Amino acid sequence: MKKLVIPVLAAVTLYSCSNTDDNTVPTNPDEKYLNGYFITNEGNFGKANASVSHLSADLNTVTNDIFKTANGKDLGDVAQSIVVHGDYAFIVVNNSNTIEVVNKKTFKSVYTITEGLNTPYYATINNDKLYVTSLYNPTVSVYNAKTFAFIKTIDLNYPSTNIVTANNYVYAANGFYSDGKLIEVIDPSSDTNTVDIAFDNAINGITTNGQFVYALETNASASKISKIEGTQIETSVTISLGNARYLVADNTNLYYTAGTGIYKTTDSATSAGSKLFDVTPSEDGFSVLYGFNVLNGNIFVSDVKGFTDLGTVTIYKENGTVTKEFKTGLGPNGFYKF
Amino acid sequence: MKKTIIYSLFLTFTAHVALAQDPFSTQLDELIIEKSRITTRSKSQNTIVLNDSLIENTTGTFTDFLQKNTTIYFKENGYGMVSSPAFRGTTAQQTGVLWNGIKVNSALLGQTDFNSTSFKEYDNIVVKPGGGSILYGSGAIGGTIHLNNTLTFNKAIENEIQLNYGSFNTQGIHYKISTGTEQFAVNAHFGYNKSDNDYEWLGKDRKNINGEFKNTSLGFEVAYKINSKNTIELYSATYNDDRHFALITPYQTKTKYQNNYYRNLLKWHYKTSDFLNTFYVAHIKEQYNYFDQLPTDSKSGGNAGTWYFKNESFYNVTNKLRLSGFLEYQKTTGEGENSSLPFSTQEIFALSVLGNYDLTNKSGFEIGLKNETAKDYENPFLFSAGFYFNSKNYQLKINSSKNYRIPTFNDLYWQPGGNLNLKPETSFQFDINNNFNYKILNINLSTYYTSIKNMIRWIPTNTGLWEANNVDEVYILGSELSLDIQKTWNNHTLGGRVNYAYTRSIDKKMEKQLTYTPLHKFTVQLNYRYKNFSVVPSFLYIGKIYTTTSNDEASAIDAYGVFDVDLRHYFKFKDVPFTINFKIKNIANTAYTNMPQRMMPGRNYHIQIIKKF
Repeated sequence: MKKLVIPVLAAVTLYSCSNTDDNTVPTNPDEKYLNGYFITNEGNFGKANASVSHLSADLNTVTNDIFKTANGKDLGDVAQSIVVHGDYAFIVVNNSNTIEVVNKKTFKSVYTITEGLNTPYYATINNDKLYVTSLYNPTVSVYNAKTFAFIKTIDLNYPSTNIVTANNYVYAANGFYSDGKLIEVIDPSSDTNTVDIAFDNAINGITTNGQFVYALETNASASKISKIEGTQIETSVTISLGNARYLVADNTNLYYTAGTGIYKTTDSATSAGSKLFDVTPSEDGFSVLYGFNVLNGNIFVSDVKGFTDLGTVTIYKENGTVTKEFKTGLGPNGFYKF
Repeated sequence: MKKTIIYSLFLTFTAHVALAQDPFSTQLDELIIEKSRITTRSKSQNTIVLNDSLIENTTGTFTDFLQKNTTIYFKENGYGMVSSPAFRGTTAQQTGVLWNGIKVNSALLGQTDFNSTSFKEYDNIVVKPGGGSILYGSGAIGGTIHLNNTLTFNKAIENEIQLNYGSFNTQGIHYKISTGTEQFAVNAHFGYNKSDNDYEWLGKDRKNINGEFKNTSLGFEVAYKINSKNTIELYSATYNDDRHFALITPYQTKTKYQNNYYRNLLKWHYKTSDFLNTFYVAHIKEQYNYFDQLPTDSKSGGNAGTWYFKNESFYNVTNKLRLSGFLEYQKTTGEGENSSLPFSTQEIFALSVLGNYDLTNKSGFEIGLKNETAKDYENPFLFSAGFYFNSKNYQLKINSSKNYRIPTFNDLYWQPGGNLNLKPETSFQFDINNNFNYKILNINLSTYYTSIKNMIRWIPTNTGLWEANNVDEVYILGSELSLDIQKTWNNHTLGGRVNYAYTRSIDKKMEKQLTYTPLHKFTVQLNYRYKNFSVVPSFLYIGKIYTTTSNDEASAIDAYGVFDVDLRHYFKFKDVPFTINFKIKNIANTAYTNMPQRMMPGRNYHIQIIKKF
């Protein structure tokens, strides 16, 4: 297999080298990704055409399908999310029940986790342990993030979507379409769900700035952001917008969306903040904002083109001007720092 | 055979027989039923009959059968898995399927899964390319497929049993009995298929995992002639399957799908020398279970039941003018089980008229109009118009029509995302069909244009929910060519059939070929027989298909060609004559897919024994 891959890699490396003015010459020619962002393209459900794209830190160079290029094999069915930690990127492949562990600089496969996974969704790392939620099961699977050995399954009350780490806790937010309205807190020392933080509405976003955890709950007419310290809600602010989504933290700010609007507030979570701008709706009138994130001040927005065509990603500045627009794989759904 | 009542709708061969007769001279000739339908219904549109011997000699899925014998393109999620047709470049919901004259596309999904439908029990299967909503209602845009049983009075008991066994532990048994007295005609049939379906994924170093399936079908038909004017018929069919869904990647959660349908139909024919009335009452029920977390019992499901009432009247006003009228009412109720489809009902009332007039004894024209009302959406006013010309060696059919496809239950009522503001998909088409026949050769050429508006698609919205919307517009320019040849000399018979379809199906927004629709499809089947031995080689070619609307080359699926060969021998043992059919499929062991990553089987072998008594 490796013999087949090398000529391909060589060709790609030559191509990308000739295109960059970067002065830092990689010591290992396989180490093609030294900074920037990863983008998960979930692909069509049931068609196993998920992929990962890379965007350089200067936003100039886009490389699509980097997993297949590096490994000569397909990534799988529905790439849901990525956790980047240390030398590795953990790619959660939802409908394949796998987590592909790759070296983040080469994107070469290091290990494929298959044990203890049922429709894995999102993941986080705490103290060299990998915690993975499941779309259907009210559980979190735990792995050693260095040996990738399966450790245990933690039972939750409801299936959970996003999962984050802050200080000494792991926070799993119940899925928007599950019956739960909880953030289920896991104590990593015992790896059990010790405390649940209850909300009035379904949770549609959870994020952290490393110190605090922020949760976004929403219904059709209003939404609320809560700031959590430890296992307590410290403060909450109501937003007079229904169906707010995607709470993300960047620098000292929080961002969220409602409809096609992008909103910003500070991480003190004391006001609803203000609207920055509206993203351009996609051609079919829908499909835009399937993926959203704010990384280093860059506002990433994806349009999945109804999953019938390759997606596009648009990067906006806070004033709404477009910095960069590019084609990705099919169904771009998430943006991650290198 | 004299008193054969062929209730199948479009037997062209019978039509020729019937046309040779004066329609009113043979008093109460049963063929009149057939004839009046043909004359009123398909004079300006082409029909293709797949007859009983073709059906009899086939093993495998309904998809295999149609893929090989028609211009319809099918894509499958791996062998035996969900199969969707693209008829004349349209979508799966734009192909209508009728069972003994009744629409049977799933009310929940709007389409028929051709790997979850039995076909061996039918006496003929008729394929009618082109729009036919005036006659067949919703979904008759790309074309229609008619599954017909034939009832015959005054017929000695005929039994037929078929057994087949082959690669991947594929097994089948099919049994059919039919008989008739002067007043009664009865058929009954039973079918069972199963397969481990664990074929090698060529070049991928793994097998097809979790692909096993089995299905059972059971049915009967009865006709009773009350008197010279009245006949009633009862049709009944049930089908149950249990199909695992093959895994696309090896560690996926295993799932399976059970599909069941129950169809009952009562027809009452009343006829005089120039009038025929047929009244239909049908109840059709569909039910599915989806096991999403095997081996656990976790599942969801849904069911829909339709009561269907239809009255068809055919009146021969003069020797030249025929009128027919159709009155239909249907009520469907559907409900999810542990799924997001709330209890919902839909009622449709439709009225249509069709007339045709012979200008000369060779040519004529026809016009049809239809109006339909439904509870939750506006229906368009539909029309059709056609011209026909028939001579000994050349026949011309020109047809134009407006057709539609109604939103499905899921499109309208699924929560969340079902959309009560949907419009039906509407289509306009124009079709010219030329048929040339000369001695041993028959050539048929269709050229058509179809435009389709308001195509319904589920798309993600910026609230995070998916919603059904009228988004796409497509136009299709296409051509279908079929060539038949048959020659017999001494003890030899050589036959051949070639089908070629050219389909430029263009997504209007992108101005590119529609996804999953090949530009070219080509099939050829030869049949050489010497005495009791036959060799039947066949070849299927499917052109490249795109999987993205921008026709991105990297994700396109390559063209492929597949060779099969059948070797048949009829053993004329005095007391127990029977036929053995040995089949080699994909003889060249070609690795191919028609959906991304869904590998299809390599070379595989099957043996079939057919015994009639």
